[in-house]
Amino acid sequence: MRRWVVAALLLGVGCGGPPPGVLVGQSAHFRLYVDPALMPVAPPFDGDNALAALETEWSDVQTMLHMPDGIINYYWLTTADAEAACGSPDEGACTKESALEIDSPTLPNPHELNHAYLYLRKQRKPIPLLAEGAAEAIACGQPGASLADSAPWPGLVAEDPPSDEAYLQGGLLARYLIRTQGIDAFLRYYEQSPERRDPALFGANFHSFWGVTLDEVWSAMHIPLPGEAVADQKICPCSLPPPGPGATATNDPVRDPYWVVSGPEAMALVPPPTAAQVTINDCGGLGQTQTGQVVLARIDSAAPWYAMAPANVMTGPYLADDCAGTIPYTLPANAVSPSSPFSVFVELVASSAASAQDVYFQLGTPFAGKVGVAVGEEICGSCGFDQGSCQPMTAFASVALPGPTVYGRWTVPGGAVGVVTQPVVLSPP
Amino acid sequence: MNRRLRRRAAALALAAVSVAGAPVARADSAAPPPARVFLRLAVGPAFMVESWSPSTPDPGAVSTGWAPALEVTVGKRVRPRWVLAGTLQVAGVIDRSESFEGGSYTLPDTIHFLDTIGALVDRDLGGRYGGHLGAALGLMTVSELDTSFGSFATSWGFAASVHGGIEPVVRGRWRMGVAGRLTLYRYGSDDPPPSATSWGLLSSLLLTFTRQ
Repeated sequence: MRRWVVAALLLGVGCGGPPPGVLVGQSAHFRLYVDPALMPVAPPFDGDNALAALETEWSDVQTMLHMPDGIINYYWLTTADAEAACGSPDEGACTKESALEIDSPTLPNPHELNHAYLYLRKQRKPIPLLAEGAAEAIACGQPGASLADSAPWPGLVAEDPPSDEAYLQGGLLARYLIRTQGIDAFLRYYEQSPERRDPALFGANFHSFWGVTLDEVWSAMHIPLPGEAVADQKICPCSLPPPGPGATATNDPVRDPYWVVSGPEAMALVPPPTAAQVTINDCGGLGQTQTGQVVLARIDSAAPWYAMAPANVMTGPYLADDCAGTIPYTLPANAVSPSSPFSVFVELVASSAASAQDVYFQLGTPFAGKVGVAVGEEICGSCGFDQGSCQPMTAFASVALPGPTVYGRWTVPGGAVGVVTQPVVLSPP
Repeated sequence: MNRRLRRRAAALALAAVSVAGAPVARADSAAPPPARVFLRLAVGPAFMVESWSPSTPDPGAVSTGWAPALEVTVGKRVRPRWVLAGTLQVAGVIDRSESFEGGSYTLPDTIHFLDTIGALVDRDLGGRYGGHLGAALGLMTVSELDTSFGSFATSWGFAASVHGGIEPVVRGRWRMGVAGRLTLYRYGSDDPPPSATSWGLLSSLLLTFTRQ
């Protein structure tokens, strides 16, 4: 949003013109213009898919911001044309709010869309630290800021144009307030906040609204709590419909930009052939992301996680409370090869409970190799755990695969914060 | 400095005094009787010092900054040496600096407007240089414009000022001179919360043009 006023003035006196976009279509909330230099648009955003992706984003964020209906003019431009339209080479993208116009080289651009959504809610101009912070708060699969990096807030309040630090710290502040006070309280605060870059006024208004000083909140938001990551992520609404029971592999960044990992069934998440691994993220943006070539996850729906596209998702009891009720996830026959030194990491992820609990999994392993077994795990060639040679490990060991199917039991420790993870490493013989 | 140079300097000084003084003397002798209508235009630099105190226990701040100032005063002579007038005084503090909790923060791309409309009284002290003193009382609007992202907010208050200066006659009914003004003002604001009170002092050094 920086300097958009200058850009608008330049346009107004004839020093510029509308961005070089061709109107390609209109949907319920967007009018899409595409730079001729980007045409023809390649999959997956070809045809009506670009508008569909924007509508998917709208419907997701609308569950948090509750913005009223409106039409946003979205100009999808080359980087050079976006900079020209925004009036500055420093501006990768911008929102001209009074015209509800976004000029961006990416689609969808959550940051600029958040500016437009917030302006649709209320036509006002909070100071850049807060306006950019709010725009940095909500997005899926995007990094936030390091909690350890801090800068004094009064200087950031006064800044214009806002520095990169103002974006980072403003985003951290907005996300902290949303996480701790809720989105509705944050929006009430945002919509009454000062429109003057005045540190004393901003601090007093913050105290007046929240009942705690900004100094106190500024300190608290830079301290990771137990179980939290040292850097946060943006908040994902995680409102898109979850895959139904028994759903199988899909890969549709337009309509399913992410998959929510929650609910009674566990999921197997696998990257498509073009991606080396799949990552799951905490919807609230505070948990440490978990990455594996295969992720088997069973997560409490009260604190959901999600995997960004591209990802293939399968639902089913891949992690279950009893061995017999578990279905196997079968790895490709060439996943582990004697001629390759590479191992396969299968990440087990489960929400922690008050007390320890056993979960079972099965891996189809149509190849010869070894499996790394950690303390607390037990690997067997059948469901006959704790019998014969099937005993819990007392120290990490790498043992030969017991057969074409590995039966495993993982004791999830109780009392932990958030999710608990356990890698299962399959390696060549 | 040798004797020759001292003589030259003395001659230059005398010449300067005579050049400056001669037209004044001639004008004084030919000055028409004062008109009933009084018009004064003034322009010059001003310096603001302003405190901001919220109604809550939160820390306040002190802002300082330079401004161009402009004044238009229109009135009439009610007594031979007394003028009663209405006055509009405008000043815009550019990129003020705010001192807050031990730090100092410049607010770039901002203009802090201090605009007063009020009544002014001015006493002509007479004499060769046209000395005058006066005071004004008025309503003040204080507006903060952010030229970067376009926000504009206005508060209301009161201002009282005293001024004094000299205004030798330069031509006919016109006088030109310099004046100093000290304006004390107070205004309040309550949007956004918390409510707050500001006191300020605006010192101006003005070049004045008066028709009387």
